[in-house]
Amino acid sequence: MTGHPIDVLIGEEARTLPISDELEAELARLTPVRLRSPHRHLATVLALSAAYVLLALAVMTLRRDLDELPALWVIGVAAAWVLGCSLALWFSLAPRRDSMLTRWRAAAVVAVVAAVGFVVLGLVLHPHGPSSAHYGWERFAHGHACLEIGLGIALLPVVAGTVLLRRSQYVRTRWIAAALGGGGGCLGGLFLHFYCRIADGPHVGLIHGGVVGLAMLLASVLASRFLEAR
Amino acid sequence: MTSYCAGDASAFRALHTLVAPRVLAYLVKMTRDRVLAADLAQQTFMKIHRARHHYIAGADPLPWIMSIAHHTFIDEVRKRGSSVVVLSSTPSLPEPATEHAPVDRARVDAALAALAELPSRQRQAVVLITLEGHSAAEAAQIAGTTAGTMRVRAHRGCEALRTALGAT
Repeated sequence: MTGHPIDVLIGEEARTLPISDELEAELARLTPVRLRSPHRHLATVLALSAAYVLLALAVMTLRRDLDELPALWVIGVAAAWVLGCSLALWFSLAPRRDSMLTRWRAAAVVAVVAAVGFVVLGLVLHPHGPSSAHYGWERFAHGHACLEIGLGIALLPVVAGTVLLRRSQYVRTRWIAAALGGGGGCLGGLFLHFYCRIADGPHVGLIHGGVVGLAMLLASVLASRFLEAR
Repeated sequence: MTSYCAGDASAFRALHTLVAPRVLAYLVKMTRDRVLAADLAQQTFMKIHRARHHYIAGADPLPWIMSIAHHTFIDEVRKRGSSVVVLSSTPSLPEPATEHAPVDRARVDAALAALAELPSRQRQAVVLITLEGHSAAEAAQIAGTTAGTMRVRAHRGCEALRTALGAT
């Protein structure tokens, strides 16, 4: 209370609120609860995501032109995908120190930057080797399987993050869900980076990079309702 | 809050004593209806109780609690199908406490009425920043927006209040 004249008008009565009978009954049988640990949540989602990608790569095999590509590009772009995934999930799952409210804005900025950045990066930078495939604009639509595989990989971080944050968010749930989708999309992009040997700009940019934006969109529509507290 | 989550009911009572006046004052200013505000405050504390497992050890629970209070208010607005809420034409506010300096009741009444006419977001910003004394950053966390946006909303709200009160 600030001592503002409006507070004076509201009066002393407004300064006391008895605990309701319903709440008193709940307090009578109060039991300890396990507190939320954002860093444990983040570690869980990252560990699950890493295991999922490694398992998927083991099952579906690495791209056969991997040895023919510049090592710096392979490592640099992989690091960028990992960074995008980690940052988006970090901001979505771990609030600022001393706060309980999710950093939805930072998470959304990271996800949007990743969604745009990876499309541009893929369009501009797409080295290839003798074993690489080229679809180009003519057969662009034939590369849609990558989109589906990327979204399949993106599913795990989105589902895991949604389960861990379920019914806990009061503001900007669409953006939080979109950021989880962005993190998942980056994981999908990371997988495609090591899996798909189609090395033309439109495919790498619009399909591999596009996984991030599409995953954001789908997560914001489908997952946000599960994040919203009731 | 940590002791309360560990199962200490007296810690909840201490928290309630500390926070309930702020929650209630906020809701009274948002709804201009003390009975409704008290009901929403009770709902808020029930929600806090049921969501206590979301608490993060060491975190300041106040912005979270105020977010829940605002969310509860918004739910009520939606339920009533109005963006300007409720806001009874005859506010059920009690008489001012006698130990305070005398206030111009008619003027404060007019201020409350003008506050009620503000769009919900501006009203929230004015109540949180100007009347409740939260920082813009804290208010932004509660409202789920940026500090700059909250400052602008509070400024516009105050301007609208000045205009409305100047006209009365």
